[in-house]
Amino acid sequence: MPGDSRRVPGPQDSRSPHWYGKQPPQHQETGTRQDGRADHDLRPVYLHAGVVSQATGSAYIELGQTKVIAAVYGPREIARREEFTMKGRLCCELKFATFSCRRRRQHMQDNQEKDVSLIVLQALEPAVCLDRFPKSQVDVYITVLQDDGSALAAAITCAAAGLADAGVMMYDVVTGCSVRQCGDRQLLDPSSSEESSQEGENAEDHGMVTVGLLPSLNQVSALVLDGHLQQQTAVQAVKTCISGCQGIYPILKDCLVTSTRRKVPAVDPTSIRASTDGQNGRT
Amino acid sequence: MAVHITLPESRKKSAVPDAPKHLVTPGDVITTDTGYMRGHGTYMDDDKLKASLAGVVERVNKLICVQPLKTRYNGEIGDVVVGRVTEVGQRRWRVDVNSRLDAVLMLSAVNLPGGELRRRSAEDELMMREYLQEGDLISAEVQAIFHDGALSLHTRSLKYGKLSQGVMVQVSPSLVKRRKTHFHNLPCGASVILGNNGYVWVSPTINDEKTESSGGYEQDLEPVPSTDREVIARLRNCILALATHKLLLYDTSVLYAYEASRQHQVKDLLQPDIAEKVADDTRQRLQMESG
Repeated sequence: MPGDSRRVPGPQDSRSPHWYGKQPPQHQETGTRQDGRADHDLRPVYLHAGVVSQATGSAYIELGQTKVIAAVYGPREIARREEFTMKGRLCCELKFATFSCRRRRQHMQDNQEKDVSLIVLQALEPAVCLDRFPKSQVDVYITVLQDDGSALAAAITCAAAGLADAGVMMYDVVTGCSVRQCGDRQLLDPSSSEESSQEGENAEDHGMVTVGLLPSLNQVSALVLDGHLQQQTAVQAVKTCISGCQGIYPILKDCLVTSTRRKVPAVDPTSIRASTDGQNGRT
Repeated sequence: MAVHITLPESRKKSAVPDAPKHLVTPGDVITTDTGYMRGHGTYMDDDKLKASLAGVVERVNKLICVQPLKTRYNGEIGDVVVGRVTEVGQRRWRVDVNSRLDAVLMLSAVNLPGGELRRRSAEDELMMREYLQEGDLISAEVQAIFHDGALSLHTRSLKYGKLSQGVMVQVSPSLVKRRKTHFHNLPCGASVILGNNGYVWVSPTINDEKTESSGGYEQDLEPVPSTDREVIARLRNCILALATHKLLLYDTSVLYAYEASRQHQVKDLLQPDIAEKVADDTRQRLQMESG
């Protein structure tokens, strides 16, 4: 089992302090959630592009207390070219920081993180114009700094903002959103306590749906369903996710426009004269 | 050794008049008018012209394109580039030129030492590593562009070849204008090669007579005097200051920045407020010159 053999594990009979801690109260029956939101309210979003100076493009997102940072490098030459391909390659690596979850994570990527990386890759690939950079690859490195629910959705949105910031050609940006189905209640953008709550476990519908959407083309590029859901409920949950994704789209657009405006070079008269020499349309 | 520590401070917005610009993000509809030709950074979806990049929309008559503000270098034939050799292959070297793909320098496109003109033989192939190794810096010109976008370079003139002692500065490719010549011998006592790919090479003044016989492969490894070193360090900091404030790099702007920086110490030019002052002085002087 690949693991980090240089770390010394704790003694065999040690127990995690979380077992003895007080469980946080489950959400009340009064119709509002623990943090006072309605069932279909998104948490406040903070999105900022251009945070990692050494990367080609980057973005940082906060969905409530969930914090994710993404760095994009490329397009650059593929290190080892096995077969000839006229399409570019997109590589995605997601990692939960060791301090990000309630249980301490390993330093190396475990199977769940590899799985989530693959889902984010499948969400981003349809949006990127891969035939524009043949024989090259774009690397996306995503780090989840704090996981308070909807980490996958935040990672998808953050990675798409990073790709747009890096100047990689895309058909559309990708936004992500998730929904937690607890019995009859549909909670949009769940926090981690809502994600792991045992409410309604014996009901017919008990699960979580995450959707990655291309907003202006209105196409779904990623769909993940965890748990047991009836067909009608699943369809309803996907529709709710899509409306949540459309809700995040204006925030993403605004963030990219602001970062583009920051990068616009100083207008000096000599440059205007040079650019009308016929060198248009190219950087 | 003195260390300079500052707390983080928010970046000041430069006081430049903002012309209203049409900024777009990928997926934005630029226009629904079908009369336009689509350029770089756009694609057609049904009847709508949509953007595929985050940037500024530029319109030239009937052509609409989106200028991204951060791209890799896209080579043109005739560009002067500065690059680093990454691999020695069969009859070619692979050179990193800040582009999507590494550029290719064919063995047949270099000058043999002594300036001989003959067919390259098998011995020349085996001696390739003697001429250029991994990690060497070269200056070259773009000869052709391959189908996939990789550049083909040549060093067939005596002014191109392996670079010996100096400092390399990496800036954005969009800041280097295309001009008649990219090799400048500045009057302040240094030479500068402004590569179109954003790699700038600053070195002590090149004497033209010395490079005649060497064919571009001899490295001048004589010790550089400390006055020259100071000039080179000052020039490097000035170029970085101009690049941070998005001023175009050419011989005049670099020279004005050097003169504006004379009153400060070389290491002070790395501080953001002094770098901003030097950039502002340069910008003002350039505006005055252009009237």
